[in-house]
Amino acid sequence: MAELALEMLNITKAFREVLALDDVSFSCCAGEIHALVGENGAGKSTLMKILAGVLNPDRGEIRLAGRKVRLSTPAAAQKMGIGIIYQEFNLLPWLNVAENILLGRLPKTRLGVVDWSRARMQAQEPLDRLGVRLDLRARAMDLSVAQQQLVEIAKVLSLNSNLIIMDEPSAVLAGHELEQLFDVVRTLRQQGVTIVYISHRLDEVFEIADRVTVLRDGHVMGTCEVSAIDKTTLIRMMAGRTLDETFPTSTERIGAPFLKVKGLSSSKLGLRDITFTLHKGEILGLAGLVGAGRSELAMALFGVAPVDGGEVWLDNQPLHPGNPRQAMQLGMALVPENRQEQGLVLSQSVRNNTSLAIIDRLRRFLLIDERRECDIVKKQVEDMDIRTPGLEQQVAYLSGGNQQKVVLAKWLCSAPKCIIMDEPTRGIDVGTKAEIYRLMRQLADRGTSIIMISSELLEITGMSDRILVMSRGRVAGELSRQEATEERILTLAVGEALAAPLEDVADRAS
Amino acid sequence: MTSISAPERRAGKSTLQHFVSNNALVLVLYAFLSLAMIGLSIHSSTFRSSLNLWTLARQAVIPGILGIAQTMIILSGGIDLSVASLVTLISLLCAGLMDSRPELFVPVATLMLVVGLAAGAFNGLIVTRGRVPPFITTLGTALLLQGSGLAYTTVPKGGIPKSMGDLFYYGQLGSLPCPVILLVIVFLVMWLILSRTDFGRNVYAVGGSAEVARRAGIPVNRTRMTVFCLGSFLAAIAALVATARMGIGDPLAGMGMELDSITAVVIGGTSLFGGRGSLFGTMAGVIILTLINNVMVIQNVSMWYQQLIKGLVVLLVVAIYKQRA
Repeated sequence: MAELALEMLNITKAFREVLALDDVSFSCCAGEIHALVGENGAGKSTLMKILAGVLNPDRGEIRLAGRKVRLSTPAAAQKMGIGIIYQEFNLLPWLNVAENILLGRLPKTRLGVVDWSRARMQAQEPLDRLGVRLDLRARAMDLSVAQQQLVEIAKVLSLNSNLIIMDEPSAVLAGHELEQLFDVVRTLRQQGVTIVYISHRLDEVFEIADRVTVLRDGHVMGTCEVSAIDKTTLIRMMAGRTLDETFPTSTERIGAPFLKVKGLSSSKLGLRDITFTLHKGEILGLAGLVGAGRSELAMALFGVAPVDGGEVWLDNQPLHPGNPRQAMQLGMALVPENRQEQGLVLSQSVRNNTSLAIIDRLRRFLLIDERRECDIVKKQVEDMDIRTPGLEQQVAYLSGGNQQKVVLAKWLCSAPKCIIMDEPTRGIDVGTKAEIYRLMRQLADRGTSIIMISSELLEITGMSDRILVMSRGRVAGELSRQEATEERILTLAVGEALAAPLEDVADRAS
Repeated sequence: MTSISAPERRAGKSTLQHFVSNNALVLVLYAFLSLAMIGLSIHSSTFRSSLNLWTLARQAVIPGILGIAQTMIILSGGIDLSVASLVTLISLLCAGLMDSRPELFVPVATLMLVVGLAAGAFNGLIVTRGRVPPFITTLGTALLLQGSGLAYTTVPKGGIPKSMGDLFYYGQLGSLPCPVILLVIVFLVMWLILSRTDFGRNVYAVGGSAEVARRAGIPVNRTRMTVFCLGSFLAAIAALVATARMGIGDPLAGMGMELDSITAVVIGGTSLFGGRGSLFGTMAGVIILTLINNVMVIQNVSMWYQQLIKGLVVLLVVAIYKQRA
């Protein structure tokens, strides 16, 4: 085996109570393409952010070519020859290709002005290495996504990186662009560059990678030669569970259909022909990979995002797209994924946040009936056991779990009949998680219909009465509670991504 | 992670304790203000004379009303740079049209309030329908209003009947000057609106996060629209007071008032990003600025030093806020 370009030894990293990486060791040989796979939240991004110097590990050490290094800042990692290409590009749209590649490092003449001829030469060099042609004078905003990605790669190369991390580089590309990316990656390997390739599309792993490492729940499940493994084994490594959690079980029967969605599409959100039914008192789990369109579906249903076609019926009444007020009046609520940006007015108190959605109903004559408001809020705070020093406490200073409870309390005040919860337990501690599970089951037993979007397979299989798996903006399959296993869900979520016909990809790109 | 997990207890703090901890800086401001007043009263017999104290209160009326309007607008996530031009325009139109005729007092004054509402509606429409940021919208409106005023006249013009001068500035009810009563009414009404009505809550929510507000079913655009209308309506009232004080239409009537009102809001601790702050803070800011003017005039200090001191106060206060935050 070739010499080791990178060793990450016993890396541990926790965010508050949540252990993101637990004693993870990971190594790459010089000049190999090493795939890093795992389901959402497995710890891939955290591990790579540590390598890029964005995060600092709580424990563990990193060695580059056998030498121990400290990567405390992104600049330090850059200097050690580590380059990272994020899913969201960091290009300045109004600057041209050359300026973007040499950002902050434009060569100057003795007079202190930019030496454009030298700049063009320096910017051209990494592009030549990649074997691609790009107009150096084109503005970044005028390039296609694939071309922008090439600029990012060239930028990293011009910093003399010999270890390049690519975070889901294929997620933004269409089929034919993928081939070009693979060519570029192989060219880099020939030049001795080590590549860490993060992806959840398994066929790509088999096509491009030399070795693959599987992460799960912050642990390394194993590293193997790609030639020595098959897809089924890989999926099993990604999905298998040893953890054990108890979920509350239902006591009530599921009722009549309540929410009917027929042929819902939105080109802007990438949703295509979504059809499903949600029953009274049912918890419908919405599974899928990040970017499969789950949150987008939630936004379309609640009316905060545009829709091109299809029908939505709630309690036998048609829902008008783009009108969250009407959705609310008919009893719908959306607990958003990003509570700090979409769920809470951080500068306001627990009281004002909790009563926000019902404040117009609390008016008596001209003024708000503050006593009634306080009673309602106090009851929610007590029912949900929100830990706060008082109703006037600013929500910005509550812990994540308690903030999430305030968002839930806000919607429960409006006595909704159908709640969409987008990642209801993300980033909150285990104890609060269990409380939220109990609460969800209680609501469902009282006849509330719930759609739960979650990237945690355990949560999906544990809580859902029925599971809808989404992939690339479509419903890829439906599983009953009995037939749902983590493997089957993942196969649907990943499988559809693999099998997406080429013309689909092409029309999405155009 | 922006959340700081403070020691979380369930019960505990009373409403009063919360009021104190949520408004600590404003309370400090008032403490400072009281000390300054006491100090000045001991130091200067001119300052402590009741005549001067009432003058001080009268002087606080116009910046006070404008400060209240600006606070509401800034709380909603906006800003209004057009208030000064609106004051100028209304001063010119009002005195010009009335031309000292008492029978025109009520109709013209009413018309002026309508002009204020219209200017606010214009701002609101451009911001909500045209999606132009409030800063730019009101900058443009400021020029429009200023230009219209100067097209009407570039020299002082017209006059007002004595009844208007008395009602809006020089008159007294018992020993209370009429404009001070007006300020107190405006303050109380606006305080009630902002703190005790659903509209007021919506203003804070929209300013805190328009996205969260929209998702909670709050009519964001209607709230913004109402805020601009109400703000300009208040500015029109302030303009009537200014006209009553001057007695004629003055092309310079509103000069600098937009920045003074924003200064008062900032000193009062209201966040320029919206969603956070109160009228109490702004009133402290207004009184501080008026006090600086008043003392400087008594001490015969020139105009430039007044501005210099105001500038220092703003920078000092905001720097202190930032250290505490």
